[in-house]
Amino acid sequence: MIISLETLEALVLAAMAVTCLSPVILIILLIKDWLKEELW
Amino acid sequence: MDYNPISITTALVILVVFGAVWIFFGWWLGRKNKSLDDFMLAGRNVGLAFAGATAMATWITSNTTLVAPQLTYELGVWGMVGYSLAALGLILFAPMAKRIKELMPEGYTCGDFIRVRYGKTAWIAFLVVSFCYAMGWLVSLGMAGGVLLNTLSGLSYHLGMTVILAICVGYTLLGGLRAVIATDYVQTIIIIVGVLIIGFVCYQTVGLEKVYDYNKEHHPELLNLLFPAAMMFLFNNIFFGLGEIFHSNVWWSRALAFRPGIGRKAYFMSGFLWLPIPIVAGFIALSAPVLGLYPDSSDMVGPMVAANLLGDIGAIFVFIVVFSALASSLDSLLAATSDLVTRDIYNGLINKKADKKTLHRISKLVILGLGFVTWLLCLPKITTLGALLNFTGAFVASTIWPIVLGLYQRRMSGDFVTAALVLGTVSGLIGYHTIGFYVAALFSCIVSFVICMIGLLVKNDNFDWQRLKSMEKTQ
Amino acid sequence: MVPVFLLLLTLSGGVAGSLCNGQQCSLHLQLKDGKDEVITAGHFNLEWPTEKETHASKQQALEGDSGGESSAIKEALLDNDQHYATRLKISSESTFSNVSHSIKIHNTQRAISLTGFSDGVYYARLFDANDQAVSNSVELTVNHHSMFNVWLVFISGATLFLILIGYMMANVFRHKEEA
Repeated sequence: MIISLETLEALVLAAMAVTCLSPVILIILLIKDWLKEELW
Repeated sequence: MDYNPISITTALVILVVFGAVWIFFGWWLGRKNKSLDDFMLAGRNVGLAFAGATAMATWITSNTTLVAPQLTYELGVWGMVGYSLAALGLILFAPMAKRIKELMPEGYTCGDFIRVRYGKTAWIAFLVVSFCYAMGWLVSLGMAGGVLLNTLSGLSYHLGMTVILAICVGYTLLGGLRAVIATDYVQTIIIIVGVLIIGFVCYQTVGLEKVYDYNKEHHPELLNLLFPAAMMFLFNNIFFGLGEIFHSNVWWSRALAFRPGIGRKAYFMSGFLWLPIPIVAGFIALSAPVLGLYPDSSDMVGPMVAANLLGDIGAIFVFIVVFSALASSLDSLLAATSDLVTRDIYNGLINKKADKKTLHRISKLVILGLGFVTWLLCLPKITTLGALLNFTGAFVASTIWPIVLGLYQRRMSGDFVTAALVLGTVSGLIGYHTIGFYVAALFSCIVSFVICMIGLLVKNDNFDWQRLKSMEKTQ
Repeated sequence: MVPVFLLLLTLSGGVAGSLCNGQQCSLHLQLKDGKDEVITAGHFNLEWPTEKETHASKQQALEGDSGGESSAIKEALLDNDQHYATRLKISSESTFSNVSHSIKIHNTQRAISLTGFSDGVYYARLFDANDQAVSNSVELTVNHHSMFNVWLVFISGATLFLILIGYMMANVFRHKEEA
């Protein structure tokens, strides 16, 4: 049973999309924490 | 391969620049450290951004950046997906992190918990398991650093390994957990951006369709959803990951360091954000055959593809990404293991009356000592250390049920936990030797589960949770 | 030392056995994981160490710890030793009439990691730029784990995992309400 090209493509693209999001989320959180002075 | 994509000078420049920046960062953050709580647990008040990033960065080790492509190359699509499921460890630990912070607001290590909750015998068994694992991981990280530098630049293994260890020991010593967490944040961003760029270039230039068609014809098992070895590997890998996270002080000390209410969110977030990274890092390995790249040994497939696609720049990228991944785990492990040695061995066994000032001094000495021992163990460059790490699966998977039940069931008693840890580990090791590495963690977890269940049925410990709040010492 | 070296040369010549164009093959191709190992994961490593390298190590083993001289020789010999092989070919027929994989080899490369093979018997051999065989042919047997064992391991793993998730759903995730 071989994985279909569409499934593989969807898997890889979804993974890349979420990975793109993570630095954005982390930077927004850092700025939020920093503004509220809640870093540490 | 005999060619080195980056020159020794470039490698040294990168090392010196990163080393200097991180050590300065460590010193700068360390100035604020006044107490033992500051040094060991970053003041117990870490916010969400740092908390999430440090959990992610620590879980992205050389394993993610080198082994995810390796497993994809060996076990195909299931290897890639199975590896990414290690994120379950972070996700399932999230609610436990909250519970840990509530149960023992004054605690320092996971050893503290096991000692108070299960008594001295279980505590000793647990410490043995924990140390075998921590040393295996530390040494494999140190070695990976040396091997990577050697492969990419031709710099001698010993020099590379020594420099990387020295940098990590340096900033952990100067800044404590605060430095570890802050550098982790920067390292996470570097790793993610680097992995994304390599993945994206691979997707753009090679093309998924071409990769798919080529593998379907020449390496069909890689795309097979019923690939036998890969299916056996799947759950074993999940239990290995769960065991690693549930028992290790790396994760417990973070749960205790985060501000109340943050731990749960931070672990959930980092788990979900970590999940796709092995897929992006692993996918590039699938394109190796179509590019005509067959590595000498499968763990170098990731760097090989990256260097081929991006040229020298790609090699520098890989170097920086893997170096960051290594450092972010090495520093965490140094800090967490030193806490365990200081609190559980020094304060628990050698000098029970030590005050916090003495402990602060001792914990710094322990970081130095651990760095030195790791360096010594890395010197002979035993090539089977990757195998040693897999070997530790038998140890850590036996801790899953004792930890979970210990946090939520008053009934669970120490005698059965000791038996579960010992017999679980033994059966895991038997499985490792008789069947293969891909069943070690599974066997260990199954046996430990059965013993814990028997324990719950026949004995009621009726544990008083208040004892954890007051963090009583051993009798 | 020279007689020992010559002796070993003749000995290993006898062991290598197979012929390339009626002459002794210049390279000895072998499976890294063990000679007659059945490959159960479709992944295997092949290597073709330099003849000199094997001699040097044998020599060292014979001489025991008699000093750094032989290891120095070994290191000198290891450096940039080139060979004539340019391609590794893999076929399901021992005659190599139908080649399924033809992989480019670097002239200093001494090992290769191959992956994703289905059940079957394969033959691997090194060839030079003129398409002449330069090594012996290695027979590889790929036989994946039986699906019975696979399902046994898979299902027991899945069961234990579901129990854990079930327990955590019931106790761990809902703990807040109880407290």
